[in-house]
Amino acid sequence: MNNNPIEIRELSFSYESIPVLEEINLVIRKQDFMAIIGPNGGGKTTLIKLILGELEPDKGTITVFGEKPSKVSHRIGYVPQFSTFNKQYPIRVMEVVLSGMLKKFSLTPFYSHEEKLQALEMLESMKIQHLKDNQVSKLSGGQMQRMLIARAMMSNPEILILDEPTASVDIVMEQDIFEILHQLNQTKTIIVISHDVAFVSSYANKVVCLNRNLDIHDLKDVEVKYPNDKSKQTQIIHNCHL
Amino acid sequence: MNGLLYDFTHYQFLINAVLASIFASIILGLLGPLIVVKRISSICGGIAHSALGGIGIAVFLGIAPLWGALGASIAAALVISYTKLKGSQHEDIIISVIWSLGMAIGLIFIAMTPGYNRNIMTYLFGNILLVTNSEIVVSVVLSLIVFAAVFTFYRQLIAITFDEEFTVVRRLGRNVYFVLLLLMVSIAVVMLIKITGMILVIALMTLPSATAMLFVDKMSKVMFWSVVQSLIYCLTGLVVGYLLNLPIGATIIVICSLSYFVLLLLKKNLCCSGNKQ
Repeated sequence: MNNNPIEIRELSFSYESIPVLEEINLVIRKQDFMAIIGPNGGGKTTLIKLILGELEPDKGTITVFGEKPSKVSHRIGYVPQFSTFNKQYPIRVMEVVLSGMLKKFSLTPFYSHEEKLQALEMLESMKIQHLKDNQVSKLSGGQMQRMLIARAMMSNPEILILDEPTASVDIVMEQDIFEILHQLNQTKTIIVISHDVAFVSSYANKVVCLNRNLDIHDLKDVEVKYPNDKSKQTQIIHNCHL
Repeated sequence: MNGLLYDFTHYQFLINAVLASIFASIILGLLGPLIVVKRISSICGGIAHSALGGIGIAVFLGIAPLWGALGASIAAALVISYTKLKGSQHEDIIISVIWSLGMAIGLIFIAMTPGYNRNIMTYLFGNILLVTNSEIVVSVVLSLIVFAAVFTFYRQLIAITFDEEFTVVRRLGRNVYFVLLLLMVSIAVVMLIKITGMILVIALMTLPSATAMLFVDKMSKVMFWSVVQSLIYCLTGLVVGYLLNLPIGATIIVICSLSYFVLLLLKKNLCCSGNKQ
């Protein structure tokens, strides 16, 4: 029995006979900080959906904590691209973060005092406690992203997956978010879909390039191979986009 | 004025109209905001219009039309839920088909029913003055059911209307709550058929919530103010329509729409002056 949080073997997946992922092999170790980069339509989000158990592979296997993904998805925290929800929704930051603890069925419409305290703590650790009563529409891109990370962290997941967390934030915020992820990486395994090769290469220990096929670059290997050549390192990662 | 008060406290049909307005407003206020934020008003339109199919069949078979409407709108809600949750690309077409097919079936069955059917206008445009005692009883029961469901599953309903993808990932029962929401819409449609009719129902389902959302930032408050506004519009429409001898459903919709536009303009002006600081 191994302890790798995620193991993917010979995995293939297609949408209505259009192949999206082919022969993917990937092992994610505990406390990895893995970045997935690649062109649009390269299968990044599909791979995430397979890990979350929302989709089933056509071929091959995928295990999360040694189990079928759909059985253990509650142990994964997921931060979606925030363009997927209605930003004008009449909901406040605190309520969004609390919803990270929501159960499928409950007989009360209220959160308990303990749950609220826990949410406040989480807001504090994301440095957005002063925004707790703001409506989501009043948040900046970076604040919104912190809120979503806080929501995902409420269930105390072992793996945190983020889909383009820096897609619509400025460069300062981007640095900020990667710093937060770096902190969280002390205890959590982190998977980030990102377009930003520069940032990714300074924080991630593994960069996966996905364009139907998967090309994995362990950054440590790259660094060992080209110890003093930063531009060569970046170039290898850049090649991913081709 | 005294005459008006006398009428509304002594004539059973007016008392019933007031009661129907109250219970309909509760349902409208609770469901409207969820419909608006989830942007499913066309789905609700489909469900509402499909009710005529059930009414036609019920009239043909000699059953109370209310039950026909309930059956048809529940069936429509289930078909639309299935299409939507399966992620079918034909969702839009299915909604349109249900919308027109429901009405077509209704018209055919009504035409096939022997005798003269003057009632059809009542279903299309409503007539709150014709609400019967037994319909009031049904309204009370249905609004209690909807109230209990929205109260109990408030957080889950918020979650699926706010960020559906998140509820899928967290296994929060997205399918269950989506179907529940559409079933409650079916119930609301049935209750509103007598008040505004199925053609005008969409306005009353969405406008009070959209208006409330201009001013408050929390779903529970939006629901509260939607209930209050729906009640104001229904009762004002009832009184004005009664006094001026106008169709009441239409009067309600006109008042409700005017109020939305006035408040929208007011909010725009307030907000712009506020932003200058």
